[in-house]
Parts: sequence; structure tokens; C-alpha cells
Amino acid sequence: MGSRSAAAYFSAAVVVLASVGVGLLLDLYGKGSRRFAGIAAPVGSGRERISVVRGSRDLHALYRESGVHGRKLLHLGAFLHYVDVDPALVLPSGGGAFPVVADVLPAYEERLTYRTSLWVAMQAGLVREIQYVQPPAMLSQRLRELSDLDVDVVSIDGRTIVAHDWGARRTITDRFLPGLEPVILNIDASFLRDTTPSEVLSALRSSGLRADLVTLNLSEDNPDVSGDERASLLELARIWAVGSPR
Amino acid sequence: MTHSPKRVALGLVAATVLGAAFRLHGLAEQAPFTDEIQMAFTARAYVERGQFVPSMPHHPNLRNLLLAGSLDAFGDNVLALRTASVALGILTVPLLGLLVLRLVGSPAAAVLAAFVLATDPLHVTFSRQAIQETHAVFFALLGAYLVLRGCDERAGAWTRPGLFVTGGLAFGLGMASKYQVLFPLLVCAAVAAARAWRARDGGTLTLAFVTLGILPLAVLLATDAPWFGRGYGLEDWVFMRTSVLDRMSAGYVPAEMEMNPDRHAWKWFVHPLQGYASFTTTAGRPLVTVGMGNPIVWLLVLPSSFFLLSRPEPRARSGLLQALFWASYLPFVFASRPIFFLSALAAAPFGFGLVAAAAAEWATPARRKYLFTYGGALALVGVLMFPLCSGRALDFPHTAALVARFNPHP
Repeated sequence: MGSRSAAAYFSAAVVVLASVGVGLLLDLYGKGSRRFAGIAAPVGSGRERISVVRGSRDLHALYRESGVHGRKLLHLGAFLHYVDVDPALVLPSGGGAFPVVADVLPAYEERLTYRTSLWVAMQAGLVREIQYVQPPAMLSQRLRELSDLDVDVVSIDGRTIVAHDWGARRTITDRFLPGLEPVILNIDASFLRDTTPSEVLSALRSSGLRADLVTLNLSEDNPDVSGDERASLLELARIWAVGSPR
Repeated sequence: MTHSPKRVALGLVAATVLGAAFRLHGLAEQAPFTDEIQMAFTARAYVERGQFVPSMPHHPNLRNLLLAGSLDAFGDNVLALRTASVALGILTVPLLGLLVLRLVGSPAAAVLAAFVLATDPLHVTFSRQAIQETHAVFFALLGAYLVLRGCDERAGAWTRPGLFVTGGLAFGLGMASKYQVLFPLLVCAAVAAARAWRARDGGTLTLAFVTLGILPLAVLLATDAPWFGRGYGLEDWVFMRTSVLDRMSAGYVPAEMEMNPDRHAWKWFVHPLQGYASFTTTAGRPLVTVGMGNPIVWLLVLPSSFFLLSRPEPRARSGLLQALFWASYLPFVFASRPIFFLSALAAAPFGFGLVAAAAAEWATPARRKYLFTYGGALALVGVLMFPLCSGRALDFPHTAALVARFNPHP
């Protein structure tokens, strides 16, 4: 082999090693960035860290205090809570004096409501992926309204919709999907619309999932959630054996 | 007529100075547009939290890194906002000259191409704004120059690996600016592979594959490092890049672009005065820029291509330049979604090279004086169209008339 070829092969090998190294390092960095609230326990076992919150702002504050970052959220509820905050409301427009370019997250958090809460959680980096489990009737309605031409939908497979928000995966289904990674679990009162607390707890115990943080959201800020649903959620909390609301 | 290297260098320096003048004049006084402001906040969100919304999230993230870097280095002001665009825009002028010199071997064509780009209103407009268009053009031309130099059989063996590696890095930075850089990358990869195959050089063939296939992807991956900080792994990155590309391909149109009327790439080089407008108000007055091509250049691109193809020697000499132009242009022509005029910068510099090559071919010694006349006309039209680039289009009757068709509220 001539010296020219040897130099070329050597350079190619170095580039391949460096490129693979970049990929592996970023993978390690990314997964190492995930932060947990504590030791994960099987969902429904009663050994999880469980809190009852009154509404979206309390939920967000609890996530902040618990220190979670980059997590997969399993959200049980009738709604997606994923309306984005219009940037025109929080960012200055052009033509004037140049603004101070600070992080816009505090402005998003000021505008956190039951409609925007999970979008803000995504922006804050608390969650990186959301798996929605919806009541079957709600999912059926959503499937009727959606098409796979929707630009944010990656695939529709039976009763599972895989969508994304600029690359952040959002899965919408009516059953628990298997997974090894511990999740943070949020049960919204709206989920108790067509089911009972004992059915929910039984399904969670059968899911095989593990969670390090469980929240039961009474959604007192959501006018579309009824008093009966909140009462059912409190009953779920009782049989799951937790303390009084936060 | 032979041109000494010194005269070519002087010509390129003169074009660069002219290009800098167009791009820097009044830059600090040109108020920022809303999307530039949003890009600044998006850049901050990206480096702090790995979020690439709200501004142009369909493009890769090098722009965000460069913007955040210059804001950190130079403070929150309009010049810091535009540092990367204007610097890379100015540097592209001599780079195009060097690339044309390498591709067609004509010093006259090289200097003329540099002058065309120096005064081109579309490139000037977007060199003056914090947007990724000039980044993509610069890195695409740099990658092409380095790789094609590395393929030059006359180059010594020791130069080749370094040129391929730096060329791959440049193409990677281009892909991390806009995906369209893939097209000139593929042309250069094909050339490198073909030459290595002909020479039975397995080492160079392997190097070309690695530096032009794997290395640009690694660079793109590296620029997404802040995004990984959101807790993502490699399998998530594949999902993210493919779903974002799908979203863009499906016809994503950012809100700030919706009002622009020119959406068909086939018109770029045949319909005069295509453009892309940006609007804001400052001190109660509208501020409008329209990125538009210089008609005395853009309408000559396709005829120049055909002229060069029609003559055997020029056809052979300009083949690579033709390949780079058509490979960068045709994907937009056949795209099924709206293509706005600012995307023409993907192909235009190569088109300018074709115009310059054709002019140099046409300019026999008796006609050479017309090249200088053409250069003067370029500068004159550039000056007349400059208000379109600098936001003062409404202050002059001739440019106000041009702007009228872009008015979203006629």
C-alpha cells in the first residue's frame, strides 16, 4: 500500500472513530441529563412518591421542586394540555430599540394555565416526551378528527397516535404501553370520567410500569372537569393511601 | 491574455471591499425585524434549554449557536445579532471567486463572479439580517472548494486527507445551517468517488465516503448538543431529525413568510424582480426590505448555462460548475411545497459563476472592454437596488414602485 493510500485510510479511521465518539458522548450526555425525583417503584404499589395537587400551577411547581428533568411523562386524562404560548405575546416585536435577550421561559411560566401546562413543562425541560392515556371515548373522537395528513402526526396505528412537537415525541392512546424507563405519572381528574378509581388502580398495577413521582391533579382550574370527577380522584387517592391535598 | 496571480488577488480583494461596503453601510442603523428579534430569543433558549422554538425551528441549529455566541461576545445589540451573517456574507465574495477559478480556470470569470456576488441585492439583503441563508451558502462553497481541491490530481498526497476532512467539516456546518447543502455535497462526493475509482485509489475512495458521508452527519449531530441536554438519546435524535424534516417537507410555512407572493422556484431565473420581503415598523414608519435578484445577472443564468453547454471546450471546463448549479436548483423546481425566493441563494452563487464563465468565454480580446462595462452596470444596479436591501425601499420612488407588489395590505 502506498503512503498516500495509508494516509487516506488512517485519516478515514480517525474520522470514523471521532464521529462515533461524538455520537456516543452525546448519547451519554443526554441520558445522563435526566433527573429523577427519587427511587422508582411499581405503579400502584403505594411505595411511589404520590402527591395530590389542586391545579396546573401546583403541578408545575411540584415538578420544579422535585428536580425532575428530561423525563418521560405518562399523563392520564381527557385533555392534552398542549396549547403553545403565542410568541407574539411574550417577545418584543422588531423596529424598536434592541431588547435585552433573556430566557423567555419565565414569561411562558407566567402564562401557564390548564390549556398550556404540559407545553410549558416541555419548554422548561421537565419532560422530554409525553405519553397520553385517554378515556376510550375521547380517543375515538380524536381519531375521527385526525388524519395522517396532519403535519404533526408521524403515524396512526390502530388506537395509537404518534405525533411530535418539533421532534418531541407525543403518543396518544387508550392503553398503557410497555417501557423499561421509570416515568413520572400524572392522573388528571378528567380521566375518571368513564371509569372508577378501583378500575384505574387495578389497571395501573397490571401495567408493569414504574414511577418515581405520581401526581393526582384535581384540575380545579379546568372548567371542563366536573365535581364528580374530582371526587372520584380523591377516592382514588384514598384507596392508594395518600395524605390531604397540596 | 494571461492574468498574474497578483492581479487576480487584487481583483478579488476589490470585490470583497465592494461587497463589504454594500453589507456594512448603515447596518447598525437598520432596525431589527421581528423575526430577527425572535431568532435572538430562540438562540438564547437553545443554548440555555435546548429548545429551538419559536423562530424557524424547521432549520438545523448552527444559526442558534452562532447567534448566541455573538450576543454573548458583543452584547445585546443589532450588530452582534448580525455578526455571523455579515461576516460570512462578506467572506463568500472572494470564496466564490476562488471556487470559480478552480472550476473553470478563468481568472476573468473568477473576478467577475466575485463582483456579481458582491453587488447581488438578494445576497446583500440577507447578509444584513440574522438569518441562516448566508451561512449555508458560505459553508457549501467552502466545502466544494476544499473537496474539489483535494480531488486535484496535481495536489500532493499530503494535502488530500486534510482537504477532505476540512471539506467534510465545512459541508457539515452547511448542513447544520440548511439541509439544501446536501445537494452540492452529493455532487462533490460523486466527483471525489469517481476520480478515486478511476485512479484505483481505495484509500481516497474510503476517505471520500467517510468525510462526505459520516463526518457531515457527525457535525450536524454535534450542533444538536444543547438539544441532547433535554434528556434525549441517539434514537431520539433520529426521530427528531426525521420528523422535523417531514414537517418541513409537508409544507411548513412560518407565519412571518406567509404574506410573500413568490413561491415557485422555476421562476427564479426567468421572471424578473422575484423577491422576498420582510416588514416591520420603526419610529412609526414602515421598514421594508425586499431581497431581489439583479435582473442583468439573474436573467442571464440559464442562457449562460446553455451557451457553455453548446461549445465543446467551455462545456468540458464548466461541467462541474454546471453540475453544482443544476443539482442545487432542480430539487427546488420539483418540490411540491411552496419555495420562497430567499431559497434561491442555494443555487444563485453557482449561477453567478456560470454567467461569469460565459462572459469570459464570450469576451474575445476585442470585446474585453464590455466586461468592464458590465462590471460598472453591476455596481450601478446594485447601488440603485441598495435601498431594497437596507430597509429604505419606501424612501425612493424607483424602489417604492418595486415594493408595491409585496404589500400584504394593498
